[in-house]
Amino acid sequence: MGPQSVTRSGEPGAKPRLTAYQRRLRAVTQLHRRRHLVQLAVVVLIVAMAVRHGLETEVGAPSVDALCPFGAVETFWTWVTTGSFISKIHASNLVVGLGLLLSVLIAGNAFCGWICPFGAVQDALTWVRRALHIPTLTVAPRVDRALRYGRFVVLAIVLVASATTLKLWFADFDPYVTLFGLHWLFEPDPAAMWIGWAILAAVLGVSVLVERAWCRYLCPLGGVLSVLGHLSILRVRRNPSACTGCDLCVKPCPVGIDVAKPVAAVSTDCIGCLECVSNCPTGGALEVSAAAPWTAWRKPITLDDAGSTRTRGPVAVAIGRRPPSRDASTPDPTRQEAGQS
Amino acid sequence: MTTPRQRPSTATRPPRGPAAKPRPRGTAYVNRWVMPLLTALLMFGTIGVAQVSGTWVTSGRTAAGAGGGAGDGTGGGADKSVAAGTLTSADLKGWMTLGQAADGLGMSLADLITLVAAPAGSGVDGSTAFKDLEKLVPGFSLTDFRPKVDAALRR
Ligand code: SF4
Ligand code: SF4
Repeated sequence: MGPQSVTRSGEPGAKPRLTAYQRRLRAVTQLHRRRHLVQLAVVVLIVAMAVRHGLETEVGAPSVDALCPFGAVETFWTWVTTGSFISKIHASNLVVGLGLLLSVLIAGNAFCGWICPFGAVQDALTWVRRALHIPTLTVAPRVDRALRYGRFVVLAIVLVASATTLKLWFADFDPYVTLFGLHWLFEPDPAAMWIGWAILAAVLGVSVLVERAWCRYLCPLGGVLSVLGHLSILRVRRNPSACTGCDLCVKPCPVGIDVAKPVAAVSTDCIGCLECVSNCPTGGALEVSAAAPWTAWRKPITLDDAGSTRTRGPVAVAIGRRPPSRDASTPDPTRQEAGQS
Repeated sequence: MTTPRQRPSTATRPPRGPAAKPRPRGTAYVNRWVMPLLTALLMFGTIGVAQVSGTWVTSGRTAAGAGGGAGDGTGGGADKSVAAGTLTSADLKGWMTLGQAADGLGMSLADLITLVAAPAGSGVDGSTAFKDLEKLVPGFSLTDFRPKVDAALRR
């Protein structure tokens, strides 16, 4: 049975006043509805483009390769040094890449949380996992931190291979292209495509057990965006003086960011899904705010002798990084405030 | 899409509303929906501007001298002839027909079809596109075909 709503005056017909829990539930439901609707719309758009290209009902129907912002990254070196693109890459890739660059610099990386079709597929797998009550795989924080560098390893390999072969080298391995390119439907060639299929199957399989596993550990575009995120104006920021340390924002984060912790270094792995913001029960503690990017750089979190934070500026959410270790005998003031130990 | 985890935990319900707490200096709170809205607006807006200004090109059909004007984005070059000698083997694309490639490379169509080594009765002719050759000619690959074209052009 859900929580009872309380009427303002107790009279029948009076406007019910929602409890804090009900307000939070409503905010979370509203967010999910909107976010998944946007994701679904983009997935439908991309699949429609791929079908059009596969059927070639219209001459020049763009392939999914031509619509991917990562194509701009893959061809960038070749374009700058020779003025031409690597194979299968066109001006449209640069346009989409420019749009993504502008959006990340101004509005933060909401692309991954709201628009990327492969992110949407992983979110759908998480939904399936929860519906089937399959337990999630917990990655130890140290391992998690190390694995996240995988994105930059993949990025480096792709950049070098693209620049040296002048081909869209990654297309044969990219799970996004394998899935949404629909070559498996229109021109299946198991001998040539089995590597891509195997990678896709592995990524989808792991994404069932670890939420957004591809985004966290391997996506090269995610790596680029996490670097660019240092320059974002809009970001999810914590207000340490308002935060009660309840940790309700931590669990919903799809990419495993330790949202509630004050940190010395800013995490830019946030995908702008707003799950944490909607789950935060404390007004003003976790909000989207605008600030000059360098505000975060020059205000590192420091702890005073009593173990409390001295930072007054905005605190960006961070990936599993903890503040400098406290003396074990010093209780966490924020947790005390929230009635936890 | 709703998920079983959507219901927020009831384990801890700290009091709401420290609105009186000072806002961090140097920041301005904005409505949370601005983040995704602005992202969509900037991304799709950039694409819209590119389409209007004619820089939205999604196909090489307009870029390899195949007839379509740069930026028309329609790939209209597929039906058009290619000026003789305007292509090199590197410009050969999957969408090109053998006829267009022969024109562009400045070699005879018969020579090009011979290079393809299509089996008898496969129906390969000037209107066959390279990407279709992969189905008609076992083992055909445009990447491997390019050096053969280069060698033939040097002869
Ligand atoms: S990290 Fe990569 S796959 Fe994940 S949402 Fe971002 S771009 Fe898409
Ligand atoms: S920190 Fe918040 S907005 Fe960012 S990815 Fe995690 S839950 Fe989403």
